[in-house]
Amino acid sequence: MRILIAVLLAMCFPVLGYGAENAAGNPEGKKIYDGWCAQCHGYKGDADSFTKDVSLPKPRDFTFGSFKFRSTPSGDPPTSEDLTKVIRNGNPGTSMPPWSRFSDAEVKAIVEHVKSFAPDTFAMEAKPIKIGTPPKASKELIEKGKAEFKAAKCVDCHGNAGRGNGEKGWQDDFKTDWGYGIAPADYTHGWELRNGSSLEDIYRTISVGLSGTPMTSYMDSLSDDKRWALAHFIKSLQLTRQLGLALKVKKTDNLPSKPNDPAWEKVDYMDLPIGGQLMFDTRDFTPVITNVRVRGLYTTKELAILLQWTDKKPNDGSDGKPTDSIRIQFPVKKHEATELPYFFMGTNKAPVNLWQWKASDMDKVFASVAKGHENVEPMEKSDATAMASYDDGLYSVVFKKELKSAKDDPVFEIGKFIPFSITAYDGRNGEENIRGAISAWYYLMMEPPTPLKVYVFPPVISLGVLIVGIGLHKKLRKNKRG
Amino acid sequence: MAIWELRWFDFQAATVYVKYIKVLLKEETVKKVFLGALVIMLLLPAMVFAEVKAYEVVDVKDGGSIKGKIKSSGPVKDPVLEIKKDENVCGKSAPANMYIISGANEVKNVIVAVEDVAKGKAIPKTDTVIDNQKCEFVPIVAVAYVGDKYIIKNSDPIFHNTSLGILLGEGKKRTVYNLALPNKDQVIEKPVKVAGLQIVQCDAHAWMRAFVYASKSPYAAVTNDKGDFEIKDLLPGKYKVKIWHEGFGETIKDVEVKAGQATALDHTFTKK
Repeated sequence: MRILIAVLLAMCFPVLGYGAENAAGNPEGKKIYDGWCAQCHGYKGDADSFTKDVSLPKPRDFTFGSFKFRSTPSGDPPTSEDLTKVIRNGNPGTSMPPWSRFSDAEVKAIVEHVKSFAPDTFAMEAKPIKIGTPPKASKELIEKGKAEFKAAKCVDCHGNAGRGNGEKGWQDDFKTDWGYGIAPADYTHGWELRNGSSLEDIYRTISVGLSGTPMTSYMDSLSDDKRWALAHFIKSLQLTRQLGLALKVKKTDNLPSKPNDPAWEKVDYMDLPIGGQLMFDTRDFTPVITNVRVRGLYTTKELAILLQWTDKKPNDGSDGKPTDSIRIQFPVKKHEATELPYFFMGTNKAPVNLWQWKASDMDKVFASVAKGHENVEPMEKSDATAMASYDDGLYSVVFKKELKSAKDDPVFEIGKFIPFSITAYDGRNGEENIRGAISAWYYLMMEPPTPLKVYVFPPVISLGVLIVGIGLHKKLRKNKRG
Repeated sequence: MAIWELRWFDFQAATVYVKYIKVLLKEETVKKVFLGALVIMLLLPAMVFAEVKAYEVVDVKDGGSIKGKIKSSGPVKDPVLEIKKDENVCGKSAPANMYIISGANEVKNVIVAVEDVAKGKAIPKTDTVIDNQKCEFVPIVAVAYVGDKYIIKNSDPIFHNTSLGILLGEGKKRTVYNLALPNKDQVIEKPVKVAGLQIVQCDAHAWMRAFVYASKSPYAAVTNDKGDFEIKDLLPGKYKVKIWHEGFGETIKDVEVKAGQATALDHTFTKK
């Protein structure tokens, strides 16, 4: 009997073992994949799905066998841990969310199923590169990395300031394995770095590259210490995002004369995360601008608002695509009610004031009043002015207006919260009109200058308290003795 | 098949059997031997199927050859590449060198490869050089052998990256290697691991391209200036031979090789 069982068992094993190797992956993994992943990645792993036209970047087609995010050398498949990491952490700046709902065993099963879509790729051995201990950051190391950034020609694609605006213009021809266009990464936007933004992530990306994209592997062409220096320099380019609800606008005697005036760098800022307009047709499912940095200053006469955002390739509309553009929105009239106008272009009852700047008309403001997105009327007269610059991948636009307001103007009152919102357009991405990246309402407040009494009264009062205290003390001691 | 060619699960499966059998047949040595033999017999077909593609080296004593000439039905104009990047190194324009055709309509750079050869002579120890020279890959068409090496060079004073990929239809591929060569005289060596026809590209200079046929067997060749090729020392038998050209496309021919004889294989492409 025992012998029979043994023989039967032995007969089962090859069938099970080799069967699983050839057939579609892991049945448990397939079940979860079909329920949670196939809607974007396709039931056959080929990304033929409902979401392929409304996501940028598009969902990964696993059947190609190219996997961007690896810890293994160029030419090798990703490890199971690499795939697990993408499932667990998601992909920053893409539609791939982090999946925490699955158990480790379930993720393992999904990984096995995903691998079955590209059996050729995963027939090869996957061994991660050694990442070692990173050297400590120092000014010298960052300087060394900066020199290497030029020497290793990173600058050719990613640009001097690392904003993905390399001057060689190669990126126009860039293609992925999947046949889509792709742009070099903007290092200043750490939150967009798909393969992670930590020092180790950057080092790994430089070393092994991103399969299927023009991001090439430097492991064989740059020594380890040069790659760490580069990683430190690239890490140092990342913006510190300052998120908030309200921006402090301070008073100054003179406004900076240019939008790229270094004086602006000392001014407080707030970062506005922005996303595609999805309420009305034509919707923007695939925005590329993710952040607008806002700064403000005012004088006795004027308010100036600086808006800055990155654009890998400026576009003034002369190539047949729409022009790059940015728009700031304020409620018409004073905002006193608790309810703000509808955040996207207002309504009939609560209209908004729009100032739009276009790269095609560098010094002009297109002012209008909107009572909803289908009811926009250009203003005949507006005092708002604009000046703009494009420096190394960064747009800077300053809107200025006198503080006193005419009919249909926003009201700029010192010491009050002034609501505003932003719409940004990347022309090369086909954005114009209501198709653009939008923000929610935020506030700016022109801080009242500190009056002199603030400096006078507190010391006077504390002195008074001190004198009274000493007096009391003396009196008490007297009483005690007496 | 050698023991080092086994995959891990072969061992794993075998370990499991041994474990089960040990538990069930603790003292019965005879039965152990009998069952061991049975298990190996059961495993054998799976091992054979799993490794069906492995190339086996044998001594070819009285082999035959395939020899021939590839021609075009008429002259074809070679396209001129317009260059708009790094002109100081790359020049303003360059011949594509796609159609290198002699006065007698003989076609250079055609890949002739005998497909799915199970066994034959040893693979030559010939590494495949891919050089970036004046923004052109040299050579434009080459054969590489799985197990040998790619030697990738940059002879230009500018950045190139060399990316190899298995073609998966129009404008699509699966990257095999993507290596940075930022500086002049940079050399990178990589093992030839993935078999098949691959396109070689440089993302920085989109017009650059070359083709490498990575072969598991030694039986592949590229035609010379006269359109000639010769593939020697094949074991007698019936073969399928792939004839491929970047511009003309692909055709597959049935060829029978006889011991000690040269089988003629000529083909004439017609430009569509």
